Parts: sequence; C-alpha cells; structure tokens
Amino acid sequence: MARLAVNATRMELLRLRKRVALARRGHKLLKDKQDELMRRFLELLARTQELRRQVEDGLARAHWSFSYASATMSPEIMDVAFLLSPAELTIETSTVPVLNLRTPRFELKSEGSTHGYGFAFTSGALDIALEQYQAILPAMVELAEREKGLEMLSEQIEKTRRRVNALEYVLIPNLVETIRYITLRLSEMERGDLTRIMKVKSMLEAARSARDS
Amino acid sequence: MTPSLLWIPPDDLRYAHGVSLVRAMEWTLLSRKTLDAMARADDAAEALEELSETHYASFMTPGQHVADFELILSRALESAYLLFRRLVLDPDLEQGALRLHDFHNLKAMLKANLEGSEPVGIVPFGLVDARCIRDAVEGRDYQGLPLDLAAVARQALGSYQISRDPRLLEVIIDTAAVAARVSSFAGLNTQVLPDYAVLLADTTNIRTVVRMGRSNQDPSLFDLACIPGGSLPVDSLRLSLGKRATLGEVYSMTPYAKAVREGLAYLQEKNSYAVLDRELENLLIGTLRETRFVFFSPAPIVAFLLAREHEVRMIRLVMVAKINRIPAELIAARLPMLYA
Repeated sequence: MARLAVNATRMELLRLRKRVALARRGHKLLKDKQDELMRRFLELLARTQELRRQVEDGLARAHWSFSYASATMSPEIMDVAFLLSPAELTIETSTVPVLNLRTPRFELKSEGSTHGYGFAFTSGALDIALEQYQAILPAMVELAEREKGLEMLSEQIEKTRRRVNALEYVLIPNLVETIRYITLRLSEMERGDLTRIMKVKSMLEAARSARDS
Repeated sequence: MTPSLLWIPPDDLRYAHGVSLVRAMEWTLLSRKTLDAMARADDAAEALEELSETHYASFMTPGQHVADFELILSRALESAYLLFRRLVLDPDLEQGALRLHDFHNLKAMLKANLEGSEPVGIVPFGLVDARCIRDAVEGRDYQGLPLDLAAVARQALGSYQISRDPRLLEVIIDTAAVAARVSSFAGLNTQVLPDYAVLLADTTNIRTVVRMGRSNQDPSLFDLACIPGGSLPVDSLRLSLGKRATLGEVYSMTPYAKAVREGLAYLQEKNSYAVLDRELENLLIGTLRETRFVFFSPAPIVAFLLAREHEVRMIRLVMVAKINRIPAELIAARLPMLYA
C-alpha cells in the first residue's frame, strides 16, 4: 500500500483517523447504493428483455406486411400515399427519480389517422402494415424509455463500483497504512525522547557526582 | 358479362391493323408458367434471370442489377403506352386508358404543394405534361388543364381546405380517375369493354367496402369513394359497410359471390387481402380474355394494354417478394390468372 505524503504529527494522525472513519462510512453507503442499483437494474432488465422480444416480433411482422404492401403497389403510388399524412405524433418527455438518477419518461400522443390515402389505387395490405406499425409504436417508445433507463443505471453502477473499489482498495488501505506509519513514527519519537532524557539525566547526575566529589 | 353476348356491335374496320399487330404482340405477354418459375426462384437475382429469358430482355441492359427491376418495368410500360397511343384512333378511348396517370400526377402535385415539399411519384405516362399540372397547382390556376382535371382539382382542394383531411382529397381524385376510365369504356360502342367497365367499378367498390368496414371508417366517406357505373346498387354497398360477416350474403347473387366469400374467409383467418384481391383480379382478367374473340374493335388493343399493366404489377409482386424473401407459396397464393 502507498503511504500518503504527510507530516508524522499527532494532529495529522487525528485528522487521518477522522478521514478513515468517514471513508468507511462512505464506503458502506456506496456499497448499499450499488446493491440497490444492481437490484433495480436486474429487475428492469428482465422486463425490458421481454418487451424487446415483443417489439422485435411486432416489427418483423409489420416489416413483412409492409414489404408485401410495397409489392402490390407501384413505388409512385406508395410515395404519393405517404405525402401529407394526417397523423401527428408527439412525444412528451419528463424524468423520474431513481435513487439519485433522473431516468427519462416518454409519453406518446397520437392524433389523426395514419390512413391519409384513398382506396382505389392503394392496397389493403398497406392498411394492415400501418395498423401493425401503429400497434407496435407505444411499445417501441416504452422500450426506448426502459433501455435509456437501463443505460443510465448501468453507467451509474459502473461509476459507483469504481468509487467503492477506490475506497475499499486504495483510499482506506492508504489511510490505514499512513496512520500505522504515523503511530509507529510517533512511538519511535517518544522512545527517542525518553532515551535522550534518560541520557541527559545520567549525564547531569554524573556531572553532579563529579562536582560533589 | 351477359349483355355483350346478346348484343354484337358493328365492326370497326379502322382497327383491323391495330388488332392484328396486337395479336402478334400477345406472345410477348408472360405465361403463368414463367411467373411461377420466377416465384420459385431461389432469390431475386435468379428471378430476374428468368425474366431476362422473356420479352423483358429487350428492356434490360447488360449487367442489370436486381435493384433496377423497376426501371425495366417502367421501360416495358412506356413501350406499351407508346404502342397503344399509336394504334388507338379514338381520343375518348385514349383518355379513358391514360387519363388515370394525369389524375395521379395531379394528386401528387397537390399533396406535395400542400405539404410544402417537392413532388414525388410523378409518372411520365399521362396525356398532360406534368410541368403543366405543376404550374396549375402552384398558381392555383387550372385554366390550362383539361376540364375534368381542373374540376376535380378545385373540388379536392376545396374539400381539403374545409376538412384538413388528405384522405378526402385523395378519395375525390381517385374516384374521379376510376370513374373517368369506367365512363369512357362504358360509353364505347364495342364488345367487352363496357362489361369490363362495370366490373372495374364493382370490384373497386367491393374492395373499398371491405377495407372501410375492416378499419371502421366513417360510412359517409363511401359516398365520395363509390365509383358510379357498376352493377351493384350503391345502397346495398353502403348497407354492407361494416358487416363483414354478412358481406358474403349481400353479394351471394352476384358474380362476385365466390371472390367475396373466399376473400373474406381468408381475411378473417390470415388478416390478408391476398385472396380477395386475387379473385377480383381474376374476374377482371377473365373478362379481358373475351377480347380474344373480337377482331374489328379497339377492345383487343385496350385489353393488351391492361394485360401489360397487370403483368407488370405481377412481376413487381414477385420481385419485391423475392427481394424480401417472402416464401414462394405465399406469392403463389396471391398471383391471379394472367391474360396470356
């Protein structure tokens, strides 16, 4: 362990002891936070994986239907069908507190029909494809919300883990090592002082007895 | 349909040359066997190779890529329209067959203009220059357009400005486009085409009723979307809206009974319009095939053009399906009969 570059004084020792107590309390709090973040992450992950499967299946079905619809119409008719769509989609964003994080919350609002085209030249397959896309859209937005939440949680877990490790394996051992060094150094100094006093005392006594004799 | 069997119009000898030329050209139409072979191909490249063994080879360039198949189809259509315009001697008939594209371009220009974007999906096969339609739409001055186009443009735009619903705009233009073709063919003093006109109106109306019913559309929209000139009473069509279960009964005494019954069963079971579309197209193509027995009339020339348009749609279906790896049996279920 590396020792901190500090003066080996009693004041420093007291200061370091306070710091190590604080570091241990911080370490415990961060460890608890990391456990809670991990618990929430795993819980959200399980729900998100299921949602992702649903979205991927729904999208595959919708893509298939759309491919089929585009096979039954000329590209020109398809292009014109999607001009001037009456559908208006808005996503309102807000945040939800999770521990000290603010995870995003998306709220989808749709107005108007997606069917902005006529019947005579377009294919019914297009209706089906658009209905499938529309049905899967809320789940896609929810998935985006959850996956962003997961990303933020994982970043926070990583950051907390680095802090816990820094406290556990670097700061606290260094402080402990420095305290031990200062304690030893102070004991050494005490012993030196005692020896020096004893030597001075014996020298004084020797001088006094020589003068008396 | 039956009336033409009872009544034979006089021969129109002006079309003797055109009909014989079209008869000679009919070999270039694809057979069902070729289309099935394309559908069974391992991939889109192989399907395109099958196509290159046909008349369509003349529209391909060496090393043509699969992604360019729309270009090949466009060239084939252009060639068919050129031939049609060369052979047809009646301007009314020409309008009936090609005015559709002008209506499409008008719709594209109007929608793009209202959206504030550049027009897309313009087709070059119409009778009116697309730039002329664009100028009219941008300047809101329809004097330079044919009367029918101008009237529809004003009506569609007026309706959109009140409702702000682009569907109304599109429905008004589409209805006018199909109605123009129906009334043009219906008014001809020839065989087959008047029957085809009735069938076209009916099949379009049936598709509309089924689609509107399935997606719970406002029934009042049907009054705008309904194509006049069909054999089915508009009231019965309107009544059948939204009654998918009884639609089969409504049409049970009509030539469309089988198409509607099977189409609705498939729609209910598989959530797909494939069988309804196929069966209705079979009725249209079946009627067009009757022109094989007509010799001195413009009907075979129109039938050839419509058969080519139909064929191009089927090739597109197969190619897009192949590019998106849709199974061959699903493609086969959708493919209707061909003219050839």
